[in-house]
Amino acid sequence: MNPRIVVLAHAVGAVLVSGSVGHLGVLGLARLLGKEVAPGRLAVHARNSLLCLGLTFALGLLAYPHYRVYVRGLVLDRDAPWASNLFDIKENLAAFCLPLALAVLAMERDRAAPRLSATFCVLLFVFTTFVMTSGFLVTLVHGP
Amino acid sequence: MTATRAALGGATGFFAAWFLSSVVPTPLLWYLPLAGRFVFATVVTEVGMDFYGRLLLCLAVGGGTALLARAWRAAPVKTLGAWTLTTLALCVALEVTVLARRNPVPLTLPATSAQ
Repeated sequence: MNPRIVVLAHAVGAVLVSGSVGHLGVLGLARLLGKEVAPGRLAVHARNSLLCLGLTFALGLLAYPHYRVYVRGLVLDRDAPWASNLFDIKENLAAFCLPLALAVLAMERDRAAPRLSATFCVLLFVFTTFVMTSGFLVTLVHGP
Repeated sequence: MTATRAALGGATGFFAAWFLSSVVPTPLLWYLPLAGRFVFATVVTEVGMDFYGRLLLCLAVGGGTALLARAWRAAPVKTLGAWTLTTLALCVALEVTVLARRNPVPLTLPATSAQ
């Protein structure tokens, strides 16, 4: 499969993630601030976020071997080691988002631990924002 | 509550496995992109990616701990949540600390003949 198409689809998936997790973050913060947020509403956004995260993450996994050799190995490690390191931090944080999203979905469906669920929502928002910003910064780096 | 316990237990197992496999040398499935094959090893001498293997390990451990937490009916959700947050914090701190100071070794291009 053409790595450019996979990376492009990965970027489109990231936009979907920002929309779905953005809803989670806002609603989670609202709940932490004491506002009433219906569990069903958060459950819908948690399900959408999990689907978008899973799809985008899978596309990232597909693109990773090409990145490792042609982008990181030949360019970033030599010319911009900070970007290489930032990419790996982002990649690990992206992996951490999957269990968090699954836990939010379970808690909202069970109507259990609303504040813990809201905390996870805000964490998910922070992590995905970092992941997307880092990914964007890394794509700005060009080889000689 | 069953799904909540399972999800929190699974997340805790996932993060704990990630942290432990990062600080303790652990045999993992590595993908060697130049050779296009997988090997099972603790370290590799050529360009390798342990991300797939680490992910598989953590998913397996997380699945196991999810089943345990699901079966443990007396498990308090708040305690499981605290464990999840603690193990997550450990993972984030470890990755940021280690990767922010890493000095990556670039690949060398094959020598080309002079024209």
